[in-house]
Amino acid sequence: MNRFETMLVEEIPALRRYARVLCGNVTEADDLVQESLLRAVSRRRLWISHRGMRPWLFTILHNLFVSAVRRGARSPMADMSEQIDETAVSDEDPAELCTLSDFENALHRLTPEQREVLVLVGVEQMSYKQVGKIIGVPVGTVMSRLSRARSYLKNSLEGEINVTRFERVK
Amino acid sequence: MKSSMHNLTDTDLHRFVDGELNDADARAVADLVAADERLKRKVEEYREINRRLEQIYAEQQPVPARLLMAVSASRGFAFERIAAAFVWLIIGGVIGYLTHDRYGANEYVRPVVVEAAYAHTVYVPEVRHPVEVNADQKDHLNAWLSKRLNRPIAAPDLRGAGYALIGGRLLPDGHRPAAQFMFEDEAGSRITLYIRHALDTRETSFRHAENDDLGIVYWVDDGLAYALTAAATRQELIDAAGIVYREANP
Repeated sequence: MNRFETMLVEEIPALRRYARVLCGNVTEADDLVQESLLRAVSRRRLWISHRGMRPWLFTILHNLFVSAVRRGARSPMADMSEQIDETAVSDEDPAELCTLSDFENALHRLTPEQREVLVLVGVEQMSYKQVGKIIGVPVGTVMSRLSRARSYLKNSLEGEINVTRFERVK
Repeated sequence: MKSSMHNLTDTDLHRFVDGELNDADARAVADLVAADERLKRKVEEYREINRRLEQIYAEQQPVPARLLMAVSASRGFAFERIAAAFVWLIIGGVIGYLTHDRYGANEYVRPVVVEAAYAHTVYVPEVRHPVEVNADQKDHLNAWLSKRLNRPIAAPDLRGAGYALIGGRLLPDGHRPAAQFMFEDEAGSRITLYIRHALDTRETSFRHAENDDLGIVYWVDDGLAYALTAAATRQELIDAAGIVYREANP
């Protein structure tokens, strides 16, 4: 394996994370990652090494997702039930699981555009500027999506505080 | 934002949480937040959101092989290569028919070139697990495979041809065991040596077959069928095969 391939392989977990944010279900997410890797391989000459691998790959993945949604090939809404299955942390106590689900329900009512900004900034620790470049919008748009998404999720956190644990188990 | 600013906007809080402020501004905001319960709660909520997102999106499952295959596509080991392996099946079928390549009347066994090409195509693109036993446990590898094939075999030293041993694995060949050793040159191209019990134990000279850019040199020696497979020229393969043969016949 050459350096480019090694770097690609190292980025696969991050790509899968990002794809899951957009797609919701893991199989669809991995399809998107596979497409992105193939495209990255075929366009390796366009990769400028000093810019870093991750932002380049994320841009490819984002663009593939957007064009698939535009073609109608990929549903923009996440499949909630499957997502919860995939991410439920089974060894935690059930009450903890429920609080996760409340938050997740709110998370999946967000648009993929809001979710991606939220995760790229909050989990991937990218700057607003980097995120703007990846998703092709101005920094101001990044910030407004971020603040709208957070204030929506914040309400779901507040809801949890007001409702007792047992009531949340439908 | 000015460091002396007193009425913080929500945007300032987001930028604070996300590390978008310069040091002076960040310190100023931190002071304001520390002095105001409402702001403190907001900042804590934003951080809690990040923590939960991390929990949800933390990657835990192993990377599927198809994604690793996609990366190797740059060397041409993608779906086309798997398709190419099916062409081997046809070539092998013909060779098998011509050479009556079978164990017994009821048991059809695929020719060694086919088994070797399949095994090569499947395992060579592997990034994490190309072999079962690594070269650093070479003695164990040789002993294990010798035991399973029920006769002494050993990984040859192909450094003379520019290939270093990666390791090897046990494979099913029909219902019998076969061995595969894998080697890699400095550029990362891989060559595999496939060994099984020969169906027809009459010794043969080196024979060459190729499909796309994958070539195989195969021969029978002392009851064993050998197949050396790589994306290499006929001469390169024959040179490497010569080393294998000489090591087996010192």
